[in-house]
Amino acid sequence: MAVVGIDIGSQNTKAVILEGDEILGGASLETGEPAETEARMAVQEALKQTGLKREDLKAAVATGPLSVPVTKAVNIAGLKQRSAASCIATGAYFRFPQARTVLYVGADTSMAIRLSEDGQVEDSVKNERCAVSSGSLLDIVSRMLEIPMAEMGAMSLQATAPQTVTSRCVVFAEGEILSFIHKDPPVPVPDVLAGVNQCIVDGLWSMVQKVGVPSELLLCGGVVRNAGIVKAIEAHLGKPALVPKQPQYVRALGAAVFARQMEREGGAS
Amino acid sequence: MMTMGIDIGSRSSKCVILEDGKLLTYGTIETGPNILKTAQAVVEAAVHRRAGKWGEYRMPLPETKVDHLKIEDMACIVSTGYGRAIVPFAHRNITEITCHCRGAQWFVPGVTTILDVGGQDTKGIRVGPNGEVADFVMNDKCAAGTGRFMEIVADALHVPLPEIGPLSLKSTKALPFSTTCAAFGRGAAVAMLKEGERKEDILAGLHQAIATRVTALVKKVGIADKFAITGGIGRNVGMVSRIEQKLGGLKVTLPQEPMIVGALGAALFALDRARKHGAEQPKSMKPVISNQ
Repeated sequence: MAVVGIDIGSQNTKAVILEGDEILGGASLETGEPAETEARMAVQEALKQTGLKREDLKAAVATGPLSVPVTKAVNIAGLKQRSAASCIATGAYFRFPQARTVLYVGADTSMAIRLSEDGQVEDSVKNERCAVSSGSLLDIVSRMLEIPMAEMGAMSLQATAPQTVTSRCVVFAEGEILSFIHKDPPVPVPDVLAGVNQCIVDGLWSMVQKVGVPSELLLCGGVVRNAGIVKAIEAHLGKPALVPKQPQYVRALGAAVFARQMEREGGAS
Repeated sequence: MMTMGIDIGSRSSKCVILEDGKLLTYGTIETGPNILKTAQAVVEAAVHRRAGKWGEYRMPLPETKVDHLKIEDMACIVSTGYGRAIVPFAHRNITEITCHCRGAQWFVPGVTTILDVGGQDTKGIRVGPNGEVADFVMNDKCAAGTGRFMEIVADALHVPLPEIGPLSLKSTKALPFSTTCAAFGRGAAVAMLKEGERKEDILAGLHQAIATRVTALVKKVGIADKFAITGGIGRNVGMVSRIEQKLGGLKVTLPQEPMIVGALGAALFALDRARKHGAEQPKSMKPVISNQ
């Protein structure tokens, strides 16, 4: 029986379709449409990859900061909401049961979670008050330097002398970075990008330390597609981290796993 | 005798030229990445009387022709604001706290407390009995509760900056808005739009949140009876009315042109100096290499 997990993030809406242990399809959209429309479109997109129809989806779980209004739009009888933390933990445990710590880095929010051996959330911290340890600084820099987000990671790896960013506020950092570019001679772009990564990761790492890393660390969320961010985290960790191939789908996958559970329980009763 | 004050702020720069202490002309522009170019451009804006994206001139200016004026014509030039140390043709630079304190007293004689909300910083200043700075507070760690926060949200909502204040007053329900991080402002505003909320209600929430934050800051220096708001925020009717509410109906006195208060203070300090020491030699236009 196929089920769907929907993750309405602050920037992108993701949908993952799961049947048993197999991921049949996934889609990520950034349309600027209202949340419910975008959710419906993401589900449609994901369905296209599977050959299934919406009626074939027997359960759905939505998560993310905007999950509330999607209920009606998706029009699946059994739709529930689960918290972002539990979906990240569940999605991570589904693919990487060996990871006891998960660091999720999204466009605006980040979260470090420690899991029990059976995949339950034991402890978690979130960036509630400040955006510096999230994707938002990358987004600002990407616009400022007109470098596509997808290219920033590889470019930052070319750095020879990373430029330290001292501000601990994205808004102040924006001004600081602007001054690097307008120096005479300007700071090379890869060095600026590596400094930006370091600035973000310093904040992230203190979150990871709060929950601890008893064994493996899994990185997820759209931002960890940036290889420079991963490298900077691994420098703190002192060993390679686990990174899924499509880290942006972990939270939606977690929602889908909850939907599967719901469907099974519903089927049993 | 002509003197000039230049305020290079994080988001906007202002230039004021006085003739024997009387306002001759002024101009405002956006601060660019290159401070030298910005400083030259804002002088141009003043002599050609251009107010930039912040709207019309609010102060009456004498009919005297000013477009021929040059930096060399000034008896003294004082710079202030975050870029003050890098203005090559300034004879002296003075901190923005001191300049705001001085300029606010020119606009609002007898002022005792000043709230200045600029592009990236927010200051509370208490004025001492002799017009000196008796106490001040400022946000130094992050940009929550600054003009930049409002700019980010205005941008996300596609509402021009001068219109956000009036629009916010049309709201029927102020939506709760986080006061913490300016960068979350964009996400929060976009999220509310996605939920189908109206722009005026989002803006009302934003104004409430910022009013709460800046009033808490200025309360630290103590609010006495004559309270003035300076900086770009003073042009925002939505902010001013909400700050008045937060202060229990205390009437805020607004300078006629709240954005130029710092530059005007700098120009007054330049006048003091020129009167005391005589006119200065024009300084080189070469960029100042070292900034301490």
